[in-house]
Parts: sequence; C-alpha cells; structure tokens
Amino acid sequence: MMSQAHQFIDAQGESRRLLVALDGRVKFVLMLMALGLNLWGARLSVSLALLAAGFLCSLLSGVRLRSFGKRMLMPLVLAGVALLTQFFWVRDGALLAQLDLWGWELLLMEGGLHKGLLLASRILGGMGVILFFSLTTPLPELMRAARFFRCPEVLVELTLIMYRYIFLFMEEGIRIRNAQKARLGYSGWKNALRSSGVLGGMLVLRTFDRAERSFAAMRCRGYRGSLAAVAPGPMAKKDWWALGIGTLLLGLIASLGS
Amino acid sequence: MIKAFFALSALLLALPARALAMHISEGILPPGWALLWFALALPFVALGVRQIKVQKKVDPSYLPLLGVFGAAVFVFSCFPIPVPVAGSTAHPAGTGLSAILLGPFASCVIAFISLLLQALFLAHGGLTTLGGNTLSMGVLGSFGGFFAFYLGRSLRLSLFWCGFLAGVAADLLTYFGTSLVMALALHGDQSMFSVLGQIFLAFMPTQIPLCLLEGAVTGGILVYIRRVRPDILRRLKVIREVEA
Repeated sequence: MMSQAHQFIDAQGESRRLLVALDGRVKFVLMLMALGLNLWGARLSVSLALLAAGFLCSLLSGVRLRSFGKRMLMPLVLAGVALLTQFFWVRDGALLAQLDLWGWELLLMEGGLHKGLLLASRILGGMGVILFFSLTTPLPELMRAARFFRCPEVLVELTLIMYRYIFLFMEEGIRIRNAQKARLGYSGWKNALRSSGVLGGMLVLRTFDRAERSFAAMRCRGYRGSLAAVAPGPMAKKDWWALGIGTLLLGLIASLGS
Repeated sequence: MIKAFFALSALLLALPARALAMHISEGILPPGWALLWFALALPFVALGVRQIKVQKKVDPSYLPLLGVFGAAVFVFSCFPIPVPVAGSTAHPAGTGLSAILLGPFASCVIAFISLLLQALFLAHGGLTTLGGNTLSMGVLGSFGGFFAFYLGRSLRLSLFWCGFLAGVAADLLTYFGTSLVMALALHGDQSMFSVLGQIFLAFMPTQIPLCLLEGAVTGGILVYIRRVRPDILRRLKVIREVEA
C-alpha cells in the first residue's frame, strides 16, 4: 500500500489539475487552518463538513474513490471504537437505552452518545483533510513549504533521504521475505521468529552498505553537507486566489458551528 | 472495571491486525492536550536535531547514514510479526532498535519523521496528535529502549538479552505512553487512573506477546549483525573492539 501511495502521489505531482498544482505553502496553511477548526470548532456539523470538503476536493483532484476509501478504512474503525468507549466513560445526560450484555448492564446516556459522536466525527473530519492534502501533494513540495516556514534544514534533509529509501527497502524487504518463504522460512511460529530476526538483520546490513554508496554518489554530485533545493519563489496569482477562497470556505464551515 | 476491561479487550481483539500498531488517530486529542504533548515532545526532537547538526559537521556521511537507517527501521516496523495469542500479526515499534543503533535523541527525530510519514501516507496516527505520538513512541520508546540496553550491558548480559530488554522496554513504554495520553484526554466522568488501567490492560493480551516478540527479534538482529558484520556495530559504538 505504501509503495502504491508513493507512485500515485508522485504521479499526481505531474498533474496540472488546479487543486493539485497549487503551491504547497497554500495547501499547508489551509490544512493547518482546517485541522485547527476541526479541533476548536468542537461541533459535529463542522467536522462532517470538513470531511465532505476533503472528500470532494480529493475527487476533484483526480483521486479515485477506492483509493480514498481504502485509506479511510482504518480511521473509520478507530472512530467506531472511540464512539463505543465514550459510552463506557461518559455518564451524564438523560438515559437513552439500557442494554443487558452477558449479565452486565450497559447504560447509553445522552452525554456519552454526544461525546462519542463528536469524537468520531473529529477523527473522520481530520483524516479527510489530511488525506486530501497528502494525496495531492508530493513530499518534495511539502518539504519546500516546510523550508519556507523555517523548518530546520536537517529535518527536511533527513525526511527526504528517508522518503527516498523507504520504498526501496520496502521492496527489498519483500524480496528477502519471499526468498525466505521459498526456503521454508516462516513455517511454524519459532521459525517465523527466527526468520523475522534474519530479515531485520539483513536489512540493517544492506542499509549500511547502501548508506556508504549513497554518500559516495552524493559527494560525486556535489554534496558538501547540505542538499541543494530550489527555493520556492513568490506565489502566483492563482495561489493567492486559492488561499482566499479556501479561507472563505473554512470561514463558512466555522459559521456552521456558531 | 473488570467487566469494562474484558469488553474493551474483546473490542480491540476484534480490530484488524494493523490496528495493533497503535498510534493516536487525528482528532482524538482536544486542542489543549494536543498542544501540551507537542510542547513536551518538541524539546527532545530539537535536541536530537542539534545533536545531528553537530555530528554532521564532524562527519558529513552521518546524515545519509542516519536517513538510510531511519528508512530501514521504518520498513522493519511495517513488517508483520505473528502473534500466537491474538491469532494474527502485529507490527513492532522499532524504536528500541533505532535507539541502540543511533542513540536516543537521533531515534526521537527518526520516530518523529516516521510518524509524520505514516500519518500522511498510511492514515495511521495524525498531525495534531503527532506530539502525543512522538512523546510515547519517540521519547519514551527510545529512551526506555536505550537505558534497558545499557542496563543489560552493565549487568554483563549477552548481546541477545540486552537487545531483548531494549525491545521489551521500548514496546511496553510506548504503549504505556499512548494509554496515558489517551486516558488523560478521554477519561470523561471516570477516574483517569481507572481509564488508564482499562486501556493499558485491554492491550495486554496482544501487547505482552508482541513486546516479547519484539524483544526476541531485536536481540536476534543484533546477534545476526555481530556474526556477519561486527564492524557495523563497532562503528555505531554498540559494542567495543574486544567484543567482536
């Protein structure tokens, strides 16, 4: 899934669709505003509107419904768990229902239901916003924006190096795992444990050699202790418009909560 | 409380296997708590960044090495380990291993970046909960694993058992931290300690086997590296010259 996400997001970086081609700084600021609104808005309607906005913007950006849905699956499960836990932990308001579970009385109170729904909607609203942002913004674009907002250079460089190698190691790890399976690794629990240790060890060994080779290659290409990157220039007119319209839209969503 | 624990355990065991790699999801923490955890986690990340900067000046190959190792630990933490009790698989935290190989502060930075990438690309965790997740997985996991490893070394245990202790401590402390962060924010009308106990205990049926497995795998990795390429452990100052 991770590897597919990487290919998809990088391909999206080439897209000329308006929502995808927007400046990373605009998307970053709008995402932070939306996440802040999701937390501070503290209303069901606000979070659900943010979820709808994230979903619609993703579809308009060319993200497939299946791709969005697959990534929303885990937040959906967690939202369900969060909703249920609030039934156990919040006991205020009117009694809505009384259930008898294996001789144990479960009381569904209005306060618990309200808090649970709010929490579940906040999870879904927040993830909807993050997914729109992550599925339409390649990491190098996000890192350019991060540099603009004075994020430490070391952190940006490290993130880019890690991002570059995660997919490579993911494929390498899968190849080693398949080779182990072909040689009867992972057959039986004890063997699986041993195979996992060897897999991790092999990854570390290959990592070390690759790091030395990468450093030599980086030196050959002029690396002198910091990565050279194109600094983001002034924002285009369309980006200012997008920032204005996005802020307006968020203002409208915020007014739902008042 | 015991009934609530069993109900929660049943609920958590019913989740898909991937959910066992527990990160606090976006939106769960109220704004005040989210900001507080950021304020507590960021000094560790900042110290880590400063340490990396200093090290990079001394040795320019340090940053590529750190980045590539960070990627490998990230990938390792994505590979499933079979959990016999739950009848499914779970994912190791990987912070114990990274703290041993890279040091606890650099490991905090690696955990912070890993959590950011997981939130963005896998929808695991979140951005407003990044502070809470970094504190539990990055800070508690890394320092717990690091100190457990050196405790083992000072007790003259074998490399496998030192790695085992680090893996177990990192995993348990990560889950304790996550449970604490969640309990403080979500305890509702219940006592915070009661909810903390419920969350932590609810994860025990899967976490106890997982932390033992992570310990065994971490120890196994260290022993494998020492057998095949002891120079790596020497360069990373995990073992001394005479031990190899």
